[in-house]
Amino acid sequence: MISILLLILPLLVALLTLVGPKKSVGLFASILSFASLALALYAYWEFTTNGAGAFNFNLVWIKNPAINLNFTVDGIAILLIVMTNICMPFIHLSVNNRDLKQPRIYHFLISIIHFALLGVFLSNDLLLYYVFWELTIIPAYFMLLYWGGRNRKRITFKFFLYTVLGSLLMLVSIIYLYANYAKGGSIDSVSIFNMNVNVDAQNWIFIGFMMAFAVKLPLIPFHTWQANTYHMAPTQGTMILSGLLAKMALFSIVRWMMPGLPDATRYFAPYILVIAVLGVIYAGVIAIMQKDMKKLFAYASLAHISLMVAGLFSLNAAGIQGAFTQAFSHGFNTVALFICADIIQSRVGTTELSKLGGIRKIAPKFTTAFFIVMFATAAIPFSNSFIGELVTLYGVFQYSALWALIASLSLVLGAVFMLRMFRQAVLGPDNPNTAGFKDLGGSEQMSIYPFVILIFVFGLVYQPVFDLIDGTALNVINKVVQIPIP
Amino acid sequence: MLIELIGLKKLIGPIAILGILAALFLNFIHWNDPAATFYNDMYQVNKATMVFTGIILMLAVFLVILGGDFYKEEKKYWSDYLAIYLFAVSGAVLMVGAHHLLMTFIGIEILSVSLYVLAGSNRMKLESNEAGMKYFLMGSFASGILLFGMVLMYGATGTLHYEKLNQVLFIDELVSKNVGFLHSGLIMILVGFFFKVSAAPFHFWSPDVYQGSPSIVTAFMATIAKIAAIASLYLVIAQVFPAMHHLYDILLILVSVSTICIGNILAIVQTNFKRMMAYSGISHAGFMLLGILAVDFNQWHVMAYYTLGYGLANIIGFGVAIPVFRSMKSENVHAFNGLFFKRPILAVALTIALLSMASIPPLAGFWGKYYILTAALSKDLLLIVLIAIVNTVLSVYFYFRIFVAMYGRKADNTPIDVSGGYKAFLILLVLLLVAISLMPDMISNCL
Repeated sequence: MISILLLILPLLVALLTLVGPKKSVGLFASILSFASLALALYAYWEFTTNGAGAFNFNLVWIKNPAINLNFTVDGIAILLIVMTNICMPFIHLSVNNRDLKQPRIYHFLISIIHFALLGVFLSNDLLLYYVFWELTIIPAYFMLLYWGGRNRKRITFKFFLYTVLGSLLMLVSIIYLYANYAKGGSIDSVSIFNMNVNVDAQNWIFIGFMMAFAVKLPLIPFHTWQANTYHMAPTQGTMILSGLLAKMALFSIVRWMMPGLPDATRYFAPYILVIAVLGVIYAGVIAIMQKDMKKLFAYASLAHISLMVAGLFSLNAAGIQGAFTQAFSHGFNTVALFICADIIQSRVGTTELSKLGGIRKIAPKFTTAFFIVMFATAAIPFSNSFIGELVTLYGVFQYSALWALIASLSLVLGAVFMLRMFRQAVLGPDNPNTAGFKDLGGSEQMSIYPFVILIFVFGLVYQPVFDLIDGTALNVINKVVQIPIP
Repeated sequence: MLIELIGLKKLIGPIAILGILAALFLNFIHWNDPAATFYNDMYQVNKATMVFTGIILMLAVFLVILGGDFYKEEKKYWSDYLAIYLFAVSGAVLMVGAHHLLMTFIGIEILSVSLYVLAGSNRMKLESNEAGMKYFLMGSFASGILLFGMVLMYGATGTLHYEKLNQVLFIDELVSKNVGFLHSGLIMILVGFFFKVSAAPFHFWSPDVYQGSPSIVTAFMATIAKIAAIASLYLVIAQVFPAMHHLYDILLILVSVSTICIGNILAIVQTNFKRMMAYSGISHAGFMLLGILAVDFNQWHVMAYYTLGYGLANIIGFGVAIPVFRSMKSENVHAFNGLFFKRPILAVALTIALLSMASIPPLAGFWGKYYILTAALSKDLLLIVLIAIVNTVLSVYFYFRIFVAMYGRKADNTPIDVSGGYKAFLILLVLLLVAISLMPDMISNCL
């Protein structure tokens, strides 16, 4: 029942925002979605004390093809649901009282994405999952198209084409699985463990799935939509895309792909690991050369997510644990970073680094918050992403010391591009562009400070996060690595 | 039985609607004791024909409502047009229900002749005359080929009755003696049908005719005419020609793949909305042909669902387009610029319809394609499925051009007149589309 509640709340928020007050509808939506946050915390408590029992829900929806409204959770899903539900109110809040066209519909779309995201995390039926997966992208597309910046038509189109192509290839794989292995029934997260797909077919199915994920994450060489999209998108759209939607793909890899296709996973893991590690380095180097803050964040996100993928495909428990711990903190950090970028953009009108600078003196609160978020993103010890990155690297190290060494450059690169960005954007001499920079206002403080607190909290307390991931990670790894890797 | 009921109602809109609704009711009255035949065994009633007929009649009701709005400025001719519409509908119903190839042909001709007239019905417009002429010349030629194919069939077998023909075709002795007649006969019949559903390479008439005809007639062709032709072809092939599947399999594969590809690729370069819809209709016809090939007859509800979703989405699409065209005096894609600012309800309705046609889950178009592709995969047509998937991505391109226009471009100041009732009607249609999207198994559940 909790699953249904978790799903319905964002939908309610979406409908209520449509009829909500036109002014400060952001605040309105944010307050409403605090209910989701509270429910997610309760869900966490319920899961850790009583297990997944209370989450299971099963109802026949469609008989042919067999699709059930089947929901359940595992630890990773709970983790990501908590992350999503914590971020959402603040995403709503961060755009409160901005001068925005059609604010109600904007928040409506955000809530629909929220709904679809939770659907992805909760669904326990492969086709139902696919429906939610596709549903996330439609509102995102309209958000980008309607509220985006320059060149939005071309860029959103590219974005949509990439994601749809990926998704449809995944659909072919799913149809293939249903046609050959479902025996007229549905595929859920238990039956996928026992499917025993033909080894030759596995590789092709794997490619179909992986295309969808590689686009969504993104992995090189499927990342070319990303930087422009993040740059052009309204900042809330970027937060959702990089902070939340990218995690969906990580989640799906572990939930659906690895247990269903163990042989193919073993076969492809080395290649994907190498691609991911190269992606870390590539994105890091490109990030250093960026002239625009939002593009820089996009590449930073690419680097971090590539590292998580490397963790997943190192095929050991530590890798998966690290990847999801990092995913958890990366969600907060990215949302917080883009809130900062949004504040700068709304005040100065640009996020080009060369036009910024000299903010420190006039806006100390903002500078402090930004500083902390920036350090967390660069994975400094005692910030939340440090431990995740460390464990991920440890996982990669177990697989191959050489690639772990190369991947660990990400720590250095991360520090370099974040510090350079911060120096150019915030420090430096007074600057006419930023002269009238107001410090954080009320709702802005409310939207950024919680993240600062969370950064410290999860920098110190990370055992609960590990505990959540543990069970699922071991299950999946045991399934995939039946034969030890040579 | 059905025909008289529809044909007699030559009065104005509401009566026609009542008439069709009554026919719809009569259509389903035998739901529980199907498999009846009428007119000397030439017209059959079973669940498949009932459902297809039901879909056609339902779409006919919507089209009459749209037509009432479309012709509101020339009330004088409305009753004439309406009579021809109803004739066309009765032809479509006959096509679907036929149990004898001759009856199929009569149905096709009733439908086609009515459409020739309707396509050219806007006498003051050059394109409309062109459309009528072109459609008539090419259409009657195709009818001739179709009839010739049937004649060859008759010459070889001595019957055109569905069941008898089906049995005869399983007699090896007879088949081997008349193999030339039978093969060329089947190919000609198929060619005739391919023309009617605008499958490549017999699709050239469709964009011109769609563009030139009055929009409401285009909507009729895109929905009822196409669905009737597809359903009729499906029923003919599944009931009459299973014995010759080795021949039509390869033909259908080639034609459906080329139809899907040509439809989607050429739709990308169109700037006229109606031409774009014509090409999108061509690509959908390709998918339906793939369904005819892959979907076994005991799974016919899959085809019914696809046609239902396709028809509804098209009706909504034209339902939005007609007032926009009328107010903007243009049928270009740019006529939709900024529609979201001017008429949000119309924009959202069109969005949902096009998303369905672009087969985005969980809308009806997605489920329809899902069913057909699943059936195709179970017949080991993996390559074709992949081609179809790539084409689906292409189709996203041109549907999304409309979205870009509606949401991304600035509106001009021309207001778009829509009455409240019309908007309510569109909302109703959208709700219906959403409802069938949420219950893709509803037809198979009712069986």
